[in-house]
Amino acid sequence: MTDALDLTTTPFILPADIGLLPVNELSPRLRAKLGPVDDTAFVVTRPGFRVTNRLVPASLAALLSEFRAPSLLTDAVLRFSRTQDQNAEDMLDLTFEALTTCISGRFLVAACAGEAMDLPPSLGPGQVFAGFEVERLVRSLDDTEVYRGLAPDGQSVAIKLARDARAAPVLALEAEILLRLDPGDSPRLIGQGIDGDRSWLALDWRDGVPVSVAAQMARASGDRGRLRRLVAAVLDAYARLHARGVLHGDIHPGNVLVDDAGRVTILDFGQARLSGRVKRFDLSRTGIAHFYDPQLADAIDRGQLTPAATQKSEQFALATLTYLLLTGTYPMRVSADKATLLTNIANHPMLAFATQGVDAWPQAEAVLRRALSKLPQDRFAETVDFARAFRAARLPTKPVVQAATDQLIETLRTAGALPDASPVDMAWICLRGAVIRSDPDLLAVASLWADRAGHGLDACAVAAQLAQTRSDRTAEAEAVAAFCLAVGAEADMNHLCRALGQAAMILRGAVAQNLDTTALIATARLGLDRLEDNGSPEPALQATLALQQAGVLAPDPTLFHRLDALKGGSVWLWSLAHDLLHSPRYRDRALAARLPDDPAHRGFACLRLHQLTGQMHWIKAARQAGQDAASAGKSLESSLLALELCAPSRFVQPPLQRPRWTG
Amino acid sequence: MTGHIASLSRRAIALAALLPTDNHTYLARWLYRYGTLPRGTVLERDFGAGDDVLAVLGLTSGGRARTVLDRHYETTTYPGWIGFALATAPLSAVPTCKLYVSPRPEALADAFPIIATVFDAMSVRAFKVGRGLDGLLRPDKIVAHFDSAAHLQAVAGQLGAALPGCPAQGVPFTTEFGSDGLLSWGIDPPLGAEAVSWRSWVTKRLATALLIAAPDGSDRLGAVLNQMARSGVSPSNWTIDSHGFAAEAPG
Repeated sequence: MTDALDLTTTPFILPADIGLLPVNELSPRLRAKLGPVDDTAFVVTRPGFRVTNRLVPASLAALLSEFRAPSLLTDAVLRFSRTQDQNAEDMLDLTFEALTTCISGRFLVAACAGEAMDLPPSLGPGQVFAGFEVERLVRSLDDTEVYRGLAPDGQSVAIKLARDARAAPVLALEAEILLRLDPGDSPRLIGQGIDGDRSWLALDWRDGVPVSVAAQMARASGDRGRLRRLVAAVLDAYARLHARGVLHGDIHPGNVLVDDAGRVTILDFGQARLSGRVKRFDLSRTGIAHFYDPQLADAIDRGQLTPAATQKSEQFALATLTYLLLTGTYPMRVSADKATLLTNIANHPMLAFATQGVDAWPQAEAVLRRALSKLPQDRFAETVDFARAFRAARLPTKPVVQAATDQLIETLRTAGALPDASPVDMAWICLRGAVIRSDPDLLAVASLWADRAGHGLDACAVAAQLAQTRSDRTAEAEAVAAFCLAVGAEADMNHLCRALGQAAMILRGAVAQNLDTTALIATARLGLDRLEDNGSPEPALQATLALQQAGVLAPDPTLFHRLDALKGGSVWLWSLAHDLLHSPRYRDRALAARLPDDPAHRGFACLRLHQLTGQMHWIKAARQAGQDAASAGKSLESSLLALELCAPSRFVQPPLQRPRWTG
Repeated sequence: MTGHIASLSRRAIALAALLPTDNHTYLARWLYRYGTLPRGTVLERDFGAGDDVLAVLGLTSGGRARTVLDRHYETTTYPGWIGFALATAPLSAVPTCKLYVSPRPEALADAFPIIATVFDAMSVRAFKVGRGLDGLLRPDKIVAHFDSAAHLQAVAGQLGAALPGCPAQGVPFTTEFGSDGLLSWGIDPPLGAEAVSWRSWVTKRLATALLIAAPDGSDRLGAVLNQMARSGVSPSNWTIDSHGFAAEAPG
């Protein structure tokens, strides 16, 4: 344990490798990941350290900059208060809590501490340490280093070396735990010792990649069977660990390795606990916040004593890991603001896969929902039960593609127009068909139609999205420039509203590809100003929500009030409001909204409700609507619905100006 | 014409003939890009952003392909590509031919480590892989360079045997090995030509031929193919005869 710091006499420093990055200077992609946050805020980062990135207001970032050179807290606040023309004592009162948070978050460190320095490797290749020949540095953190090396018998080893005395208890605990475990799911302890004040462990070397990489490969292969085997192996390994009375204490993808044969190795037992020794509270619990269980998140959020890890808390973390591996995203909404993240973990239910744009997997989702119950008693009794239930979850059946849909695709390939369809309609349906079927030829047909569609507002919007889908930066830049001109010239407020929805779609695509979106954002903001001055409330609200979701607008505190004052409202509006603001009452209003009479349009609305809730009966309702639409006669809308039904989780609201699509 | 690539190429020209444009640059670019797979939110999430896609290829630390290639290859990155060169390859030699390997993206996690292993085992002097998701959606996502056609054919034979049934995308306007489109080859034009790569050279020629051919609905495709044949490019298998690059020879 380290000694308590005297905050009045200890000079603090902001280490040189701490990054203070203004949010508005982040790349569009990273900016979008933050969600709707204050544009003037800063992100604080420190690579290589066990430090969680944080979002801080601009004023705190400016105060932190006072610590680029070692300074007492009082001196830094005094200097800062002068620059702000404020009373120093008031400023100290105002900032003291924030500064202590930065100290406990280890952004501000004692100037004399080791972590104030850079992290040079202490061993070099070829050097012999404790009888092991060092090959290379694998990982460097503020308290430990990990090297790959060779034992005298030629066996590859991992050497885990403390930087100083701080990590000694952790390494001693890790050694004790590893000796208790069979060297199957965890590395075998080959040796341990102390060199000066630096403890070390030598473990047998395990080949492989982090489980997140193995899962990414399986997802990229579109192979859910492989994903299921991978996750089941991870759960089985943890079930065996728990059965031996060991709690890992730091579950995250970086601590699980998978080799080519699918063998799982659990790493890093520095935070592990023996079940029999666990007390009610454990103030030393650490780990990555995304994997906290609700009880830990709630305690930290409220500033209370943190509960000790239990099998049930590890089950929650394992379920979070499982969800991440299966979908590539987290079961709750992730926020750059740690307090919001903790609140979401503590209070918000698991998001359905479809809500995240991932194909539904009802049986696996049901298992995860139980393991992610907010109350420990509602989870599985034992980790092994969770593992068994997951293994029993059947893979979902793929949507049956109707022969009529195949026939539609072949018709689209002919590059002939469907009845009652304009070139821009054709470009859109071919584009959707190409994305849903992963079909490069249909994508080329879509571009043919887009070229025939001219330069109207819709044509430019579809051309921009098409260029994004074709990865054609030149064409995208041209189409976005034309779209901006068309939006600027649009006088009809209904068209302008639709255009802003299209702008949000284009922005999301551009952000994903890290493109310059400055002109498009400016155009969208101007358009929204005009719409709010001249339009009716619902379209203006819908456009505001869409642009806020695309990261164009900062959070608007009046939005809740404006939404709550609205009477009526469509499935689209309330679904979007729920996606952005996460209020259950907006979900309820989406579900209560009147469904359109037109069967095809009703089918689109049902697909949107499936994405909102994850409930499968909405797909069934959409299918029924599709059959009704087809019975009423072939139309562009019924054809498009048939296509969208092939991939309900990826459904996109048709953005074009067709009277029956806008209802 | 038989084979996947022959069909793709013919289809690309037929669709290009329907484009309402007489812009040569646009036509050539459109033809060059034909066969690119659609990018979408699902792929963006599953493959990851930027260089995160390296994980899918097994090129991150501990990955199979990385482990193999770290032994003998040096890695460089440049716009759109990640290049691998044998550390022992002579710096000055200009390759004479190139092999395209075109698995569909969903096959890459399994296929790329195998491809890397074959390249390493057969001492392929240099190859490149499309960078980022965009790079893996293009048809010509993996390109290897050779000093001799015999070496290229031997490597193609090994890859064909090592990747049976691998889902293929196919690189239009290249010469196919087999009939599934996974493997094909081409020869870059001489230095100083109007285009630096085979595919950019041939798509420029095709754009020219399309603009010359009558746009009145008669057999425009046939006219384009005939024009290509007259300029020394076989429209059935996309090889070029010994006179094909003659006009490109530096004066």
